[in-house]
Amino acid sequence: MIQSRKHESTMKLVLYVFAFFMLWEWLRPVKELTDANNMTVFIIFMALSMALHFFRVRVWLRFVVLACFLGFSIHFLYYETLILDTTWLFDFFGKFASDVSLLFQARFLEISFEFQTLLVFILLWLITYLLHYWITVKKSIFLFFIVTVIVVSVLDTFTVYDASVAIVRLVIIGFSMLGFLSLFRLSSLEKLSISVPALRKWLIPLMVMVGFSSCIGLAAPKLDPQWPDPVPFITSYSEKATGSGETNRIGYGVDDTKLGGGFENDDTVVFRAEAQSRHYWKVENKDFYTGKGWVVSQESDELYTEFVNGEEITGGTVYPPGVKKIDLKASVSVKLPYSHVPYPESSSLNKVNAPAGEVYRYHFITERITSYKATGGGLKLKQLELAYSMPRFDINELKKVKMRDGIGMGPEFMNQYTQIPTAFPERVKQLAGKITAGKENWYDQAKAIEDYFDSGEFVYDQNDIPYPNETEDYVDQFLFETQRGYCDNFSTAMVMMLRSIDIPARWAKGYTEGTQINHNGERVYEVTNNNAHSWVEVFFPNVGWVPFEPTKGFSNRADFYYASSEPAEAPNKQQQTEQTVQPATKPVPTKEEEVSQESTTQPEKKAEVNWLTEHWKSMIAIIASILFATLLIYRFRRRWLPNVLIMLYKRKKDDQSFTKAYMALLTQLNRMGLKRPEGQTLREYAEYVDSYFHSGEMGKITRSYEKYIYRGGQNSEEWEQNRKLWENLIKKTIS
Amino acid sequence: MIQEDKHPRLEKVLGNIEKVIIGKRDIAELSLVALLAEGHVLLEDVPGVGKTMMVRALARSINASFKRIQFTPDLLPSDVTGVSIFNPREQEFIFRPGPIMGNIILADEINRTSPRTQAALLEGMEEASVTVDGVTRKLDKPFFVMATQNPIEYEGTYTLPEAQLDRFLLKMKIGYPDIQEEMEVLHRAQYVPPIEELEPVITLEELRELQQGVKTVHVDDTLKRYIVELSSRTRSHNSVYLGASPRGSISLMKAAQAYAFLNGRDYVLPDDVQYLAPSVFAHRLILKSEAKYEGITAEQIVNEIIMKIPVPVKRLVNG
Repeated sequence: MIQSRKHESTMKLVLYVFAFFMLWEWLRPVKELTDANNMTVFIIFMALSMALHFFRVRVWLRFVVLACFLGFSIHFLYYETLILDTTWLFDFFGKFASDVSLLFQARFLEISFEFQTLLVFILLWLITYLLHYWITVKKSIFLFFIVTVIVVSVLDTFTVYDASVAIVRLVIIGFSMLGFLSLFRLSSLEKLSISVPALRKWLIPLMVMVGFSSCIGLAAPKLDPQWPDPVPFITSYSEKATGSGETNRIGYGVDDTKLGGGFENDDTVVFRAEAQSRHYWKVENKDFYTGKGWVVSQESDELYTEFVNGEEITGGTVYPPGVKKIDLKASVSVKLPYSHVPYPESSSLNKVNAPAGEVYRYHFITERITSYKATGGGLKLKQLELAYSMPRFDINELKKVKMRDGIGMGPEFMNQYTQIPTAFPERVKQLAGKITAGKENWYDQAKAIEDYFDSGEFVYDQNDIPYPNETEDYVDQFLFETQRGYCDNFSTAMVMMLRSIDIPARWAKGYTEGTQINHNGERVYEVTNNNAHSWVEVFFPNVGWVPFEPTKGFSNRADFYYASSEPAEAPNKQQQTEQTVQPATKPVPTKEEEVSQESTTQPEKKAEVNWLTEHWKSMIAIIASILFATLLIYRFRRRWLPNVLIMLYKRKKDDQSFTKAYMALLTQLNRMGLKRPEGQTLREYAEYVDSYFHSGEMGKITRSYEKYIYRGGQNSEEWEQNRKLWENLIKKTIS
Repeated sequence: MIQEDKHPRLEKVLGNIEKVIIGKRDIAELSLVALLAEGHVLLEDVPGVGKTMMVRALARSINASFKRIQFTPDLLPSDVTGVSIFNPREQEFIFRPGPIMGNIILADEINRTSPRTQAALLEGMEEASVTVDGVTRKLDKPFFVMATQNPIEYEGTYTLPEAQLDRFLLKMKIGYPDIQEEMEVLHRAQYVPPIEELEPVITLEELRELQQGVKTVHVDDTLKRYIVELSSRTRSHNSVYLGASPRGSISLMKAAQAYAFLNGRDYVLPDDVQYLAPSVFAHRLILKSEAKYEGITAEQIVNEIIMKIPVPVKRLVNG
């Protein structure tokens, strides 16, 4: 007997090892197909988990061991500090929290590697548990085997992974396991212990068969693939997943190296701002155009200046003293925390005050403000108070700029902001020249180009915007071929046209002002991912950077005016030009304006509709998950209902409770699969149930119940006497 | 058959019968049920399987007077009921009681005699009295008839009319013993016929008490309803031409009471009803000829109905 048990555990060990190898087959392609390069950790984890299952270590101990290993691995993979220095743990849990929120927003590509690794570990742990369950309890591995085979062959077909050896390994492992397990199943079914001769009788044919069939399979001639290689499709797909390929843009992205593709709508709220003025929100700008997109020309520590939270900023954007400014304040509550700080466009920022803020770094070229911890490392802020000066641009002043030598217009500066790729198509420059012909100053030239996009030839469209092919230029494609696009197309085209006629310009990006939602009488703007935007900034030597808005359907929010003190212009002419020049703010009503107009007429209904349109996805998700949960709870009622019933009937003493309890027991037994035909008497049924449980409890309780219902007397004591029996029985139905 | 501890007195009777009849405990029980419920039994079987022996053993066990009437085609009603003959010395008619004037009567091969004679017996069974020459004479109690008949296919028989079949509480078949049992029968028959050795275990008086006891067995309303549902279902069944009568329902209830009593219970279970329903109902149903041709038997139909009608598992609410 002991001998046979020993054999059994040896066999079980073999099974666990086999299962481990089978699971390994899942991890092998991962190494080849993704950029994961440290699979050893996962394999050790898997082996450890299987071993813990095999030795039937206590559950809490399993958990502790695996959690420790998991911690060590994550530390080993991603942190360079000492493991005893627990700061990495805080960092990890900080990421964990934000990643969980990302997970629920389905923004999977942004999830940190640490969290991804953690998820993989958890998945592996679940799978090893399943394997353990299949081997020990169900004694059946067929499902897992077949799924593994399917996965491996699909990977072989559709990816670069070559599974020709893997499939041989799988066949050997899988069929051996099937054979072993069916022996186990048989022996437990027939309650036999496995003796050595029996084992031999079983194993030898099994090995011969598996070996023979694998040899035949290997030796046999094989048909060539019956369909064209789908690999190119998959590679492009996987590029999309890693972000380097052709992807639709969603919201604000950091990477602008490859512009093009559709712009996907996404209602996720990025931040809400309580602001006194209506303006765009800038995050950064970029200066170097590659022909396909934008990058930053220089990146070094010298290009940064630091300032402390709540202190006056020195060294940021400053407009010359001649430019009128209005000092304003805004309060931003960020819903999607990033470490960068959005700030009102065209303003010079005076102060950033965040309750949780520490230090900020300002990049001179990109004008991007990033929040840091005093100790280093990014810091995501949820609440920001901004103090800024909003300039007012005097159009007369702007019109004065006609040549390129002004303040701060060194050759280096001009080279940087009139940079053009070497292969830039000549026809763009020709077009720019044609549009600006007859305009003498920079302002008028810029306005002319800005207005050019207003013509009917250009269409604002977010869908199916093509990428330029290898030899094509992004701007050229938009201007001459598609003439269809969204902000990136318009703004890049305008910047490059300006640069082609030697006007310094740069590409700015951030968010539009968003939708005005009034909150407690305050002007609150809600900015979502849909409001991600890009526009143009042109440098005027006497004024500074001035925003322009070429994108069709959007209007420039910057403050332009004609100084009334200007002697050169007669008052009524000024009036006239103000109307014609006003195109700084475009005549076309913008979407936002329409929305806000509507919202003033029917604010409540609109808000309701808005709420519904914005939240319908999550509503459906919530309803679906509630339904699903209900379904699950209902489906597994056999598991939990008995406990509820026990609670329910434990204290009841009235006449009806015996009937109710007994009926509940019948229903519960029925759910378990012990069905009672309608015509069967309780006594017959009880015999059947007792023979199933090998006990006499059902018979006993049924006799009492019979007496209770068929004898006509009121016997509430019957229930009292039988409660224990009833509890025992109903507990049996759970297992 | 329900496995329960029997009523102690009746267990003795059953034990006594078992000394003579090997196996066939269920038949013995059913006979006892009929006796307790003051009903009568129709045994339908081939000769030689122990019908007579069964009745005699029962009669001896309760110390009752046992009479046997062998029915033949030329038997007259007066041969059953008795006849008044003139006594010249006393110058008056003296009643000579017939074999029906007993406690336990075996009416052997009842289907061999003329309907007139059959009627004489059946009247006695129903009324518990016979009328001879205008005088009605009460029959002794207990009065228990066990009639046998050969299966209908045999020649020279007068089929019992349905109205009369209805008067039997139970109809059953004894059937052949199995090999072991039959060997045991041979073994016992080799020596003394064991019937001669049987001692009575209860008196007639006690039997009457037991019969009264049966009537006090509780039949819950749910079960009354169940019985009625069963019998009404026989009336609407597709293969049945004529279903069980209300007398059939009454019979089932009484039989169930007796059976419960026999099993030492003072209340009836659905199990009792189910167990007895085929024996009580089968001979009361007239099947449609199509059903007969298809080989469906009344027992099958009753069993099918039992399977279909839900057993009451709760107390009846609102009557």
